[in-house]
Amino acid sequence: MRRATLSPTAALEVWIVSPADGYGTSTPGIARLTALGIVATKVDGQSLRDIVREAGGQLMISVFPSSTEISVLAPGNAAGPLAQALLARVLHPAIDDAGFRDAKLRLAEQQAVASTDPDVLLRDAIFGGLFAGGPFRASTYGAPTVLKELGLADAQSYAVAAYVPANEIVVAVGGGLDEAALSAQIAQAAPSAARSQAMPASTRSQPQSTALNGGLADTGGVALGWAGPAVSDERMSTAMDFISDYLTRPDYGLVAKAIAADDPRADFNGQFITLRDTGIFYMTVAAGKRSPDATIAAINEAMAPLLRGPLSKPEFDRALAAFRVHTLRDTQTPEEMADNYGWYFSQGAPAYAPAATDMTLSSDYYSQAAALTPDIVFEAAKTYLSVKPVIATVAPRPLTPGTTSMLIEGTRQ
Amino acid sequence: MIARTLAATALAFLTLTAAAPAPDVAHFPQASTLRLPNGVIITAQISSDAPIASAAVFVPAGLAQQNATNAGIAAITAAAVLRTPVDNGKSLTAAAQAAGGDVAYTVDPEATRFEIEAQTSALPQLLADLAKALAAPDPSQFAAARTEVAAAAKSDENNPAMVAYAMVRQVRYQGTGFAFPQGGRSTSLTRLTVADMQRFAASYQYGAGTVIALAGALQPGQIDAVGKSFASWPARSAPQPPSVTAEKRQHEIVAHRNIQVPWLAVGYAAPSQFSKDFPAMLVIQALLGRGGDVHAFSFGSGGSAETADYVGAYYQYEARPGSFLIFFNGGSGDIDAGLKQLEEGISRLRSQPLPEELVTRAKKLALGDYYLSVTSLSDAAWLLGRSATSPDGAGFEDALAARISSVSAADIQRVARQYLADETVAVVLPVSSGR
Repeated sequence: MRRATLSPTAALEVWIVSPADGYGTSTPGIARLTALGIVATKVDGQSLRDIVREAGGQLMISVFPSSTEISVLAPGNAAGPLAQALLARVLHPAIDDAGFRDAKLRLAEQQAVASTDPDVLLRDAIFGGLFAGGPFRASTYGAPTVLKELGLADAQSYAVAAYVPANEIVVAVGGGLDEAALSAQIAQAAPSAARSQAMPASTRSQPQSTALNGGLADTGGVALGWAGPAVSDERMSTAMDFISDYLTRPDYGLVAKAIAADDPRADFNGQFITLRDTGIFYMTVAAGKRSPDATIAAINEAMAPLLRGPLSKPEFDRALAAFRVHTLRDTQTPEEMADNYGWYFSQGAPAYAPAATDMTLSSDYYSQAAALTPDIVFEAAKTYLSVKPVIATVAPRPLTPGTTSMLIEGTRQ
Repeated sequence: MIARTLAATALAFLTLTAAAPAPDVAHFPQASTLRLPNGVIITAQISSDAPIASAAVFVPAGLAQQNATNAGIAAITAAAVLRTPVDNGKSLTAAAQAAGGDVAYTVDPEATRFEIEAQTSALPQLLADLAKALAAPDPSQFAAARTEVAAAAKSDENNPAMVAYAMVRQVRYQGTGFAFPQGGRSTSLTRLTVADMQRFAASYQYGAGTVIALAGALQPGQIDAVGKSFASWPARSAPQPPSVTAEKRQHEIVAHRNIQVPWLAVGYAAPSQFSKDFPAMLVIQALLGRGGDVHAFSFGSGGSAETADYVGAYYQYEARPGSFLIFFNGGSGDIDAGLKQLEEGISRLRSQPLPEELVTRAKKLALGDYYLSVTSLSDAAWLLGRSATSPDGAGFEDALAARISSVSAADIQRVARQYLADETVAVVLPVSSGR
């Protein structure tokens, strides 16, 4: 729990560390289907979705390969009751027939939207190229064919296996939260301990020499991905975060600016994803006018200064100060802070979360950042980014008159 | 920005009658407010969450203060301010970004707003740099600024939601600059000169009417330093923008664009943000379909906000009078059915008081939207700045929440009757073959 004093809102989140494609046989989409079913199932005539909407809040489900996040952005005046509802429904999950049917419909809609989103397809292809097995290889949306076969019992079984105390953390960030009351609610809502199942291992793929085909999307695009350090190597992970900031931050990063300079319509994204075993650094460019080869050449050229040798001390000092400020700015809202805590918990490193800091920045993450040097950053770049990346492409699908992309943003519920 | 459908759920809401308790309210942090001798208002909300802070600087000339011949000059001037060298030849934008911060502008109906977010220790200097650039935007940046604005304006011309919004404003704000495209027209932009930019820059340099709102981990000395940067602004009051004659006729206007499905916007008059009717209109917005926030269609750095898929309600309350629009997109539902639902919903709002239970639920939604609109430092600075110009001062933030909670069924009916009539319908149709 953390206070955030300037916003009259509270971010309330439950994170469940579990494989998105299930335990045992890979079932892509099962985590998403289960979470959607939980928030749609009515208890005493109301679902969690109903309760949150009526209180003027927003409910969000985010599913990552190794974790599920169910969160509520609550107006400050409703934070207490919404925390109670979230905890009751997620820590003691129930899915009934009606909730399951609703979840299936919503997931089908999300699959349809995701199936043409170049960013989603490129990211999935990169992950699929870097991993030979485990949850990171599979799409978190799954395919319509798999969804069709899934039944209520599958979602219920997944909930029983995944939604257990050993896998869960509750994060609350905001102003005006009653910490004692919240703790009591958590204690009251916490289920009795149940045996958790092990997360399937994520095995790395052998390097591939050809570009992966991500399929057809709304626009064409290309992505590059590299495997990075595990989160336990905090020095290298922080260096990779610095590199990500230096290269990919919109309007600032070397690659971001290089792509935008010649092609303002191109949609560039990039980041280093901190993960428990193998971090991922990737960049995607969609809707650009360049060919994939030309895009890759532009990216390589923009990255070159970082791979040639250590940055000069003045440039490094400036960039490090900017990196600190960027990180603070990116973890400023209650939702951003809670997401950040939850993510690092799900990677087994809650104390390393950038959001776990204070005014003096005397925290694990910012200490690691302060200890960075040009040589450490160069070492990270050389180790992880000078190797051949995994490359994926998507092609633009033919236009279909009479259709327009739906407007639901992300998976906001 | 979240655009939601004006879905059946939103209007079906008008038929629900489940009991619900009256909403409580939350509270905003206390603010300090200082008025400099020249009239500039400095207001601040202090936190100790992290060593960063945000500033919103409102100068008293925006879209409404433009005219037919210089439409677009507000955006060009603001873009030139951001490009003005302030630190060893570095532009204001480059200086902010080099330190990890950022600076942006938005042209509001009656103000131009600059936002700076940075490490706390860097913010006073960046605001001092902004004050200098505001007073004298670099003439050599005019051409680049005009090119930047022209590109964004051209993009707006192909965005059906922006086109529909512009058409509604063209009818409802005749006589003010707010009736013109926010980035100007290509014909007027090409005729603009450096002298036009300098005249516009002079038109916002008034102490009274300028507000600097700060949010974040600031020390008193840093707030004082910000005040000193604006202490030399002339001690005079900004003139009132041209007034608008209320539109009492129904209009339907049609445009064609290269789009795949038809778009439609229905616009009504609405109370502006400091009107006594504002809280009731926010509740009506919650009843008719929550849409994006007041800046969903704003024009600023990087062009307009992303509105390509916008549907649902949009309440522009920073303009005087305000506007309330409902957007329909033929690609995301049946426009005829949506229009019918809208007409029925409005008819019901106007004809009789709603059940108390329904009003209570709508107030919760309106309150939720209000609170959820303030999550970042930049949100906090914006709300604080606008509150500082209200008759309530910074207390407006909490007062508005209390007023939303006090809205009655009779208030809703009265406000619906007063404003939700004489609509302007803007239709954007696909270009048919042969056109």
